[in-house]
Amino acid sequence: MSETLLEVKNLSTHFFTERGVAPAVDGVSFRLEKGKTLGIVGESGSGKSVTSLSIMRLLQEPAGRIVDGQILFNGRDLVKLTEKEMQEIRGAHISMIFQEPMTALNPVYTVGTQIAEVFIVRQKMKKKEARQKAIEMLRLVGIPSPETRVDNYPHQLSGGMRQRVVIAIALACNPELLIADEPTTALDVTIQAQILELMKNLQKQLHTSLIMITHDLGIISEMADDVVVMYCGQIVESGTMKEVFHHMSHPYTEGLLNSIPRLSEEVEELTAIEGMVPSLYDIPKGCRFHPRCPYAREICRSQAPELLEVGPGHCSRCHRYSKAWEE
Amino acid sequence: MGQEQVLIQVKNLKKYFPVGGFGSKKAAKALDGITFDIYQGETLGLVGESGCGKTTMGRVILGLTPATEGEVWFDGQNITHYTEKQMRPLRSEMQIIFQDPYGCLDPRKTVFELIAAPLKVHGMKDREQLKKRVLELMEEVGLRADYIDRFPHEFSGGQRQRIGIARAIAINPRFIVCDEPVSALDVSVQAQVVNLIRKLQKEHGLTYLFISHDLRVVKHLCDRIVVMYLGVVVESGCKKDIYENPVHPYTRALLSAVPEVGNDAVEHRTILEGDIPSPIDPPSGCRFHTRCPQAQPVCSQQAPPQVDLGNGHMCCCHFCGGKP
Repeated sequence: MSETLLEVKNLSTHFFTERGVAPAVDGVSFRLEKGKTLGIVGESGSGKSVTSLSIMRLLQEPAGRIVDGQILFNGRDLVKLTEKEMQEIRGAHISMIFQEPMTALNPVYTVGTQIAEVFIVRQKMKKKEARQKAIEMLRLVGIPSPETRVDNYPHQLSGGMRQRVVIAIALACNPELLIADEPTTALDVTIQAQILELMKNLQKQLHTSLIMITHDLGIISEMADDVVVMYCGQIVESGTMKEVFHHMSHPYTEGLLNSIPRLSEEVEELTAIEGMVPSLYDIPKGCRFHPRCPYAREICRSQAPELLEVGPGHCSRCHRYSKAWEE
Repeated sequence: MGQEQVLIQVKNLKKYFPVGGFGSKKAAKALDGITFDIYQGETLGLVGESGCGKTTMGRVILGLTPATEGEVWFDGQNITHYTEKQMRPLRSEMQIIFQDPYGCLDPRKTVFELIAAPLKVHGMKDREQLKKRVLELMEEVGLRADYIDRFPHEFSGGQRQRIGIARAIAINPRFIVCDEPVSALDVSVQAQVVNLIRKLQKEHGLTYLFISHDLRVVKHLCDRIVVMYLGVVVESGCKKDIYENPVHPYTRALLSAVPEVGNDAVEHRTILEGDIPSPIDPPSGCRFHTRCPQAQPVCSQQAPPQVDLGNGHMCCCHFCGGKP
């Protein structure tokens, strides 16, 4: 097997607020191999973004803290690093792309300055040289006439172009890992197709590993090698993309998939998941999904299910696969 | 079809927003000559990307934004230049559901006050009667009766959208503009609201203009579809024609850009180059020519004709009829 780049072991990130403790991420483990793409799927409040912020150590401290677990990046535990050591990792080894490209860019600097800054700070380049590199990066991400665009301010660019600039900044130092948090949610479909295509090509060219966070199962099925489905701070299903989509095992994943109308088939009514995502301050006892689950039985209400292996490398957190279910 | 009754008629509608300040002759052409009909009891889908004018379209039909040129007819009346006073009685027949369930509810009002507001405006005064009707509406949209005294911030996005829907149907309208009603919602909640919108249509015989950029939801809900690009209609027709036999290169690109689970056709995806041009200075000739993979010299010189492909399937392209 190929080399492991990132291994998250039993990660728990909690938020300590006036209303109590919110376990936004609760015992999450997964692995990402070099050059592969891992998709994290979930709805708002599932903990997918907090997982990525934990890896980057960008949590709003002191309210949000990693309370347990390890994040092994090339064998080094990121949880134990000091802020200064972490700064060496961010940008150079791990970069992140956010959903809203306008807020990720500084409105008062030109995009060229913002890309060049990475080279000046990280690689101690001279200004002139950094500018040249910035133009090269803009060309790499497919921005037309990069020589003039380099002097544009973010507001002069369209949403798709801004996201390209954000990708250029993220990839400037050729990081080993890129975390993309809903990178195309704010974009139009045709632009989304462009950006996804760009990310796929760049990944091939630069051999970057990718964590793709999204609520859109369609995007995951196109981009990812492995999938992790999160609900209420926990992983409910994980495995290779093919395994998960062809032998779907968790009722939540099933529900998510059935909630999206498809172009290829016609249904009279969408099978919606009943109810809504519970509050993290008031997590249901037993299986966290049981109030919304069509299969729920007594055992689901009383006992929390473990993550069980249901196929090759395919895990599911559901009592239906345990011995106790038949009893 | 044939005998269906037309409820809304939009004729050569134009809406220009002046830009560039005093004395400037520039205008953003949000709508530039749009014509379509909406039949009684159907759902017409209005599809397009940001900046194509679909939201403006909804607002102009409801008289919330005045038209620059052209006509809007509702049930046989030309309502284009109706005054606020003339519009009043029609407002109870035409309603709107907004995209942002956070922005459209007054945070200082309770659910009761929010849903009762349209009822009060249209003449219901008796408190007992109001409460009865509000509870009825809450049940209809799937809100628990004990939520009646809660405030909007206590609800999730999906529930807020249900409050918005209850407000829209409170006074028994015949026509509702749904402006991206599920775009801001989580996937699992989105399906609930989509089902609710459909259920209400069946029970009340509502007519919808469903504005969305999500081609999957539009296919699920709509009978006929109008595809817009930069203020003009590029293709329109019944659902089957648009999804199974799309003719305009833009419609084709839009459909192929939708990411789908288990879609193996990804390799053949048409990826459009470039960005959507600005409506202030739209491209000459066919507005889509700057991004069209099949563009020929004629496309940048002449506006394409509207070609009737039969069965109400219309397409605006120089090449959709087979000959240039």
